[in-house]
Amino acid sequence: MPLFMSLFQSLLMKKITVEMKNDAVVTGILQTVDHHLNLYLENVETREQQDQIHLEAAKFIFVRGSTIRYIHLCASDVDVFVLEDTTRRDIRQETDI
Amino acid sequence: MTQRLPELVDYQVYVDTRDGKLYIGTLRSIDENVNIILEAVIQRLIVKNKFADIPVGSLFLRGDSICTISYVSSQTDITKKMERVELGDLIEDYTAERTREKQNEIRLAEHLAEKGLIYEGQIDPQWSI
Repeated sequence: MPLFMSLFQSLLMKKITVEMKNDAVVTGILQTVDHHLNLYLENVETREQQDQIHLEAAKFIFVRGSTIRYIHLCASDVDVFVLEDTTRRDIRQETDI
Repeated sequence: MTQRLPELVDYQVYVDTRDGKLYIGTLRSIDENVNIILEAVIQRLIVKNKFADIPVGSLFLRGDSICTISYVSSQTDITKKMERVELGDLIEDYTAERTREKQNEIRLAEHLAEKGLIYEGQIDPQWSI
């Protein structure tokens, strides 16, 4: 499994904030992630803006991976040491051929 | 392919596009690139707490122009805090707001260019509704 997909797999059911290329910012509970990093969010909150009211009212929203600019994570949800270790191991495996 | 989008076929969805438009329509078809076909589509223009709808008919949307697809339960009335107005009454305010956004975008791109950076958004001064 690609590294960042497994990172987001470990963040399922956690709260994340997604900033998109149309400048919309949404916060929600991560439900599903696939290998394009398409996301499903539930319990969505937005910055108070009238033109985003449908996102807040939505039961769930689908965010296309290619339009994501940033994802804000809670520091306590990510084990940085494990992430660094996995990255090194992946690189070593690739160069070991 | 994500599991849950195909479940939304035949339901009404709200689609935000990368150029900031909002389409509301019945999802009829979808593929693994999230290209979609919507039926009975309206484009909703929103300015502050006023909104107007433009009927569009059927619409094919290429996946790369889609930002979010959201499903709102039919019991939820999201327009109750907003005021529906005639398209003609809203169009002037909407045009003014979009023009202002575009100018800001162009200024940002120029500012970045001065610093040797490239703006990754889509600048289209010839935008239309």
